[in-house]
Amino acid sequence: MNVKRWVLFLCIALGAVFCAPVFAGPWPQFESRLATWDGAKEVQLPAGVDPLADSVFTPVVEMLLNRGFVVHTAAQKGAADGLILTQHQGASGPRLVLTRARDGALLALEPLAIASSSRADVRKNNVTANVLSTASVSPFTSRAPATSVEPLRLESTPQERSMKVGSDPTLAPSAAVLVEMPGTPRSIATWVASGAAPRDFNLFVLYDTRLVNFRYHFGSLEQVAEFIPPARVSRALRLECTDLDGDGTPELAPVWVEDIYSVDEGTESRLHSWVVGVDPDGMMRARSADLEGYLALTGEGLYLQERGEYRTFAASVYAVEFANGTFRRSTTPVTQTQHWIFNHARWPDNERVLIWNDDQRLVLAARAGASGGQSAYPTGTLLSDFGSYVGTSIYIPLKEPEYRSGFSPHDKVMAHKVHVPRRMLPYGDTLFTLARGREVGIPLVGKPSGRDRLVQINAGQSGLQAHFPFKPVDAFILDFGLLEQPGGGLGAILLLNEKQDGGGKAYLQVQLTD
Amino acid sequence: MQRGTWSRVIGAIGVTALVTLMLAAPAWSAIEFFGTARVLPTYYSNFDFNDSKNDMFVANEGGMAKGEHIRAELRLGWKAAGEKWSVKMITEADVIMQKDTADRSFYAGAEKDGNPNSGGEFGIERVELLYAFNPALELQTGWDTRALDIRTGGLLFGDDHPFIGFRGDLSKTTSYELLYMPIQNMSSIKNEPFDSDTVNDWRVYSLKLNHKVGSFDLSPFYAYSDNEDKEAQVHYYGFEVLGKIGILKPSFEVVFADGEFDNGKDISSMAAFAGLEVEVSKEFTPYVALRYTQGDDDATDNDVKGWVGITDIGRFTPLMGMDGGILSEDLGQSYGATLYSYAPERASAAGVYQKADFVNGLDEGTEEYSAAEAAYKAALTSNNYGGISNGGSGDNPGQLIAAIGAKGDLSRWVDKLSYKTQVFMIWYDETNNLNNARNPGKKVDDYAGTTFDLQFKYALDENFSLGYIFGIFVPGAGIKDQFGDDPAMTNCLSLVWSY
Repeated sequence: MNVKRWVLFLCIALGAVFCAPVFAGPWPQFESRLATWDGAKEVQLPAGVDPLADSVFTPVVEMLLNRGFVVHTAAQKGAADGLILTQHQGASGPRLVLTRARDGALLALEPLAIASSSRADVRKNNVTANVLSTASVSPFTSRAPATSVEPLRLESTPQERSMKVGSDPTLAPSAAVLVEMPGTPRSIATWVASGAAPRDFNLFVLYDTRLVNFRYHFGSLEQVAEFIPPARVSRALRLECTDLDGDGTPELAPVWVEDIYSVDEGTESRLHSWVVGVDPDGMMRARSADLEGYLALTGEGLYLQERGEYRTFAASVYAVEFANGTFRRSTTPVTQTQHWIFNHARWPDNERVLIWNDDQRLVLAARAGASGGQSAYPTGTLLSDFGSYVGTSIYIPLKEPEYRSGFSPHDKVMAHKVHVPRRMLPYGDTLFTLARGREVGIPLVGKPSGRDRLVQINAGQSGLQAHFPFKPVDAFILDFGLLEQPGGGLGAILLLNEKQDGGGKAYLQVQLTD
Repeated sequence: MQRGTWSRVIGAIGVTALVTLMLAAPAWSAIEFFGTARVLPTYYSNFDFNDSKNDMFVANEGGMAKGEHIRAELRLGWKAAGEKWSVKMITEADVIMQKDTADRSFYAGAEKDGNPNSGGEFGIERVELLYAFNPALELQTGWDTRALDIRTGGLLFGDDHPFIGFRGDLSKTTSYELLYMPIQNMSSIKNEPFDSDTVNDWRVYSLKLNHKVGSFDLSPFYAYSDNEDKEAQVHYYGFEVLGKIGILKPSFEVVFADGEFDNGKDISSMAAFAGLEVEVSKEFTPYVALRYTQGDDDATDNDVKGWVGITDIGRFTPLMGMDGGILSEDLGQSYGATLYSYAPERASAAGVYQKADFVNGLDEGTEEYSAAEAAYKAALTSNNYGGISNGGSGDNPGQLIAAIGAKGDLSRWVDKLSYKTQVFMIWYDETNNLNNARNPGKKVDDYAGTTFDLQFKYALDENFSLGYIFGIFVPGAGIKDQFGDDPAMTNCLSLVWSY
């Protein structure tokens, strides 16, 4: 026996075994059958499917085209000895079905949910909504009634660009709905149009280079419009939404940063922000020039704070004013502050602010005069651990570089990295923010564990108090919005991600309370 | 008890003792680890400006190299810090990649018990030990990067020499740094065990103040170079100012040197720098600058006027600097500017002292001839002091560089791509001490040549970037008179991981 040959063969065999899963695509049955198909390389799609814009079929079409197949829509006639691709809803869930045209023989079945979830890239306009179920339900806080969870069903129809997820109109008021989000969303805002049906709202989603208007309707998401910022941007920071001009339609305040690179200086993040109007048909358009600052809402309106040359923020705060159909920054500052407008909320009254201090604790302070998280109120610190939140980063140049390990640009620290704090959202007498209970785990070997949840802050006679009216989730909450339900209940719209930095798979969860 | 039982008992006692010691030990500190790994495939060509001769080696931080080579600078650093103290150490292996340096670090002549040295060398490249008694008084020692004028022209000093000193804030706007640097402190123990304890020493004492006025920094500085090794003592007085007005970023520096050799020769020189950067746009930030170092006009007189700093650190200055640009490489064999320096501090006085004047009429091989030859060599180096590795010459010709350049972010076209480019026009300040090989007897031309550098950086990731530098030194009549007509070039690709 030739030992060398056996060893070589063994190596090749082992290599093939280990490599097979790597090269296996998301449709293993399809790919296997197509590889051995010796008939006409033509595939017929069902009626009504747009091969270029259907969230279910388009990825399969791409795979077919890559393999040299010709794809026919229903209006075109495929070859009699070709293949037919259809979708079938069965008891075990939706599936894509590949049959032989000449005799209808079944060649391959692919469960749709598995196929969808295994696709690595979610395309820009592909509002994917897979079959997902939330965790089991249990009672949680005294303020939070038990939430029921309903398994969600995929009800995609080829005629629509979007797919319905889960829920039907009979969904219990306290249910949680989970929807897979396309791409890597960073921040969200919601808007309920007057006269809208229950659980029917606009979801505005801020991505690193665009802003998307989705319509959420009974568990389904449909993309309505997209806004591309008229300047180069690198990363998304924060999105706000309110009706600034009182016309009954929302204005959005997206804030992005543009990273400026240099061969011998540190990365510098420059701010880009606009007031974006939403037309009745959902289209979005800029209604201001580039405001080049942080934008944040208070009870009184929209405010702007610029970045300092070598500081995260400048002291001056400007109002964003509406005049002659456009929004612009006030010519003079309306106030001076020592706080970053992303890091505090004017709450519980106009004279006080709630701030995240350096230890990521909430501190109540005087609106004017307090600095560095020092509170003017004896009961102003909430000694609750809400975890360490790491939001989107901003690079601020250092005036004096830190010579960490030498004179070379690579050896110097020339910018410091600042993270956007978690959202603070006043609601009535209370304020909502998020508690980071989820941790990334030990580097390299650990897995994320723990749960994030929203926390409701009350300011009482005895100081600040925390309540948890919503259910914790086994994912990182990146951002959230609140939704008033008809009849008085409150809903939480959670932007979730598998990764702390928002680079993983993203979900939207709608939690309702009674 | 049996032997195994004893072992277990001893082991348990040991573990208990260790735990007890750990619990009783002072509070531990979190340690931050960081580092860089740079791999630099590089090609040097014609640093002697002469295509017809084989190139001589060139010194860079990885060692001696010529032609094509790959330098690897691998660093691992850690820093422990408390409220008032910190300890930072950075280990480094900086090598020209080849078998003997990669996995066995063989050094010629290094052996133990007759066997060659083998095994990795990962020495401590930098150390910084700090303790702040109060904001106005922080003790500092170690061997880390320190500088007096690196924010402007880098004419006098920037290096990682050992130091001990203090620094602090005297007010909100005024700070200081006081250093004592034993750059050389070792007599020959083996050959001259009874030599003076200062015979080879080179010590530098420096004080730098910094005062902020609006958006400007005004910074006077002083250094005293006590160079026993070269028998020269020099006082340096300097001043730098830099700041920003709108889109304009001006910077300026002037330094004077005043001292003498033990033999009575007078050292008197000066250097200056002025630059202006204009932030036109993120894609285009141009600059203009002038850099001047005085030259010596007569190597045979008692006035030593050629500018020699402590370490000319032009390579790493913000405006004209480029880590890997052609002039910042080791051109000591020809133009006279060594690694890091822009000034031709090692350009020799061969034009003044002709060997024939010393050995004429003597028979080669005789003692008289050897003595005359030694006298000739001594004359060539008689005014040497300071500079990088204490190898500068006070007889050097000096220079004037007129620089124009630009840098910017090209992300509009290619995301995360940035560039810097610059042209230097270089004149000698004085050429009387230079040797005209092309036209013997004639004075060397003032125009040394033109350099051009183009650098790109592609920041693929926050922790990884690709870079490239092309640099060329096109000889002017001054270089052609001395060395040759062919341009010197460098091509350097950089693969940089930082963490």
